[in-house]
Amino acid sequence: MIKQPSNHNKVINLILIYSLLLMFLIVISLFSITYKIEGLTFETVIRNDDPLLFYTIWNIRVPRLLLAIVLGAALATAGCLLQVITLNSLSDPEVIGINQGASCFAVLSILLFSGNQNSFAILIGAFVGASIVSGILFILSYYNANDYSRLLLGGVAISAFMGAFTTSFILFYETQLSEVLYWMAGKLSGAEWADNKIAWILNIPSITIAIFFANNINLLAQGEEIASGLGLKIIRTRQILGLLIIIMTGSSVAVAGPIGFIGLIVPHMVKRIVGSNHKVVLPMSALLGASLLAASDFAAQWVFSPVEIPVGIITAFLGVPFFLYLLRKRGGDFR
Amino acid sequence: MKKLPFAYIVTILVFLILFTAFMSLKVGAVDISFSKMIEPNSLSIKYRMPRMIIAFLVGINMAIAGAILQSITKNPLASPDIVGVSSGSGLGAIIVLLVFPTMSGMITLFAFLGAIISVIIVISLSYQKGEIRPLRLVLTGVAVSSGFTAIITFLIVKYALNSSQALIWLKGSLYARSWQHIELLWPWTLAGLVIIILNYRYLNILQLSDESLIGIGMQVNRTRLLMLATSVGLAASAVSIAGTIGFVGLVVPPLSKLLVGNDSKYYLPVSGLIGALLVMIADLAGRVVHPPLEIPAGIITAILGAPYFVYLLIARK
Repeated sequence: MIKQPSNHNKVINLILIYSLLLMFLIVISLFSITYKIEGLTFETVIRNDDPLLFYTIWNIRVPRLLLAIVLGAALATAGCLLQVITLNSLSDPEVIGINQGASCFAVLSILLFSGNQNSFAILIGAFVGASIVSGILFILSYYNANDYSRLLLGGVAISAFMGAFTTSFILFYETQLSEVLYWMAGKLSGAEWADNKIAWILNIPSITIAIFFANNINLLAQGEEIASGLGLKIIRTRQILGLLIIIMTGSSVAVAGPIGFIGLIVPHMVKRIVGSNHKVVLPMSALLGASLLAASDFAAQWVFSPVEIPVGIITAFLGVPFFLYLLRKRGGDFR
Repeated sequence: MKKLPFAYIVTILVFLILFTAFMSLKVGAVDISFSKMIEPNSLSIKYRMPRMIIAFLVGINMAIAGAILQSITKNPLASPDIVGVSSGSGLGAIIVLLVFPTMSGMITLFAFLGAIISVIIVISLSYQKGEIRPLRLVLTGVAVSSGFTAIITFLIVKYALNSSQALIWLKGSLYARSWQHIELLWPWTLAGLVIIILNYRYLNILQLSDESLIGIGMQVNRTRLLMLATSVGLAASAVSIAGTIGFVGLVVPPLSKLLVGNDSKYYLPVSGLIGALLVMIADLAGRVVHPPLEIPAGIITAILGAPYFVYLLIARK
């Protein structure tokens, strides 16, 4: 059932795809680091001759890019896992409400602990929110064992519910409105090394663990009956994957606000290219997610220059038509 | 569950509505004594009465629009919010509020147009192979709504100055609504009610399969279209006046069916009354909970409605 790439052609193809994606990522990275900086030479990047340039590169551009890369990878992986445990190819942390839950509680902690400085409080808030929504969804799925589209609808309702709370919190603290609003649209501007530290420490191990579980994920994707028939501990596996999703989504929301639809788009594109073996799909999703978010962030910075728009808006503009396309293509079948 | 007598329920609801109306006039940031309430030009008559009436009308509109949508799509999850009325009208209103702030008289018109356009988009995108599958309708609505929300967020970020007003509008508030808004709203409610009183029987018949409907000689598509237009008219007029007051159209019809059964003769009026009561209570609560700050009524309805919706999802195996 799980196909190993047995012949040379397949391996070569895979290597080719990986290197193409990697090249794409590198090109995007170089662009977003160097775009519109005057007087940039290779030496100024390394040596601290021109303090302003040095600062721009190493304290503004590079941390922002690295954050986009790690969050893109994490969100794409989270979306991939979510689509497996919900057995629904339309799932995404944004659609299903995890992002809204996380941002609801993150906004609460921003407002209570007056905390753009206090990133730890935001992080805890985001984790609490993501866990609460995931818990509710877990209970919902328990009651609707065979109907995963219901789960999606439940997620939609939960996200409206959380959104209502978020707005009322904001209205209570109207003075901080614009910074909260900007954060809520999903943003990467002003990324610092501290954000990066949190994001990399939490997300890289999570992605690695997810890849280690690829075999079990493949089984789970076959449906519960087959998976349990083949001896998989379903509840345990789903719990672990759920925990990974909470960590990845929660930490992304905490450092960058809710960024939607990366988790929806990327796994589909990857599966279209390399099939459905998660041993390949997961790492490639991470790579493609990183490139996509880095590219979206580049667009968010420069398309409407000098106004910079939140990257979440760009991903939503990409994701919504994609979602509609998937819906139409699938006809009545939503698995 | 044994169905309660229809007349009994209607009496209770009317009594509750009257009580809520009285409380709406009396309490608020300033409590008004009974004798002052009936003076002409008092605070109650001038500011609270129009709000209360609008809450009443909006509740009726949203609940009946939801009931109609749910029966023509045969889907208990359809509602005006979900087919895109709310996000479309939100976008229309935000465009006026933020981009053309000088034309603020046009908010209602733009919100109305936005609602109609977005419903047309959602319906036509979910129409495939001659039918509209309920689940696809819902998911398309969700997707289109998130697209519109992204545009709204973009506008809010770009024009950060006026955004708190926009945000309140988006969450459905009845703040500063006046008699002039009632003038705009009541004809729609009346027209919708007349159409639905003349045609309520079709809602029962439409529950049959399409083959049987054609078999008994009904023009299915024309009837559906008429019903859909009525529903959209009711919902769009309501949101264009009061903003996106969510979940009323979603949760009230199933609740009233639970109370009086599946005959549209009974559940339509009960839906209208419960909807009116719900929005009136939400508006009252929003004013009273934390004065002088107001919580938009739409937030209260969402906080009440969403858990009930999740319960419906769980309860309906």
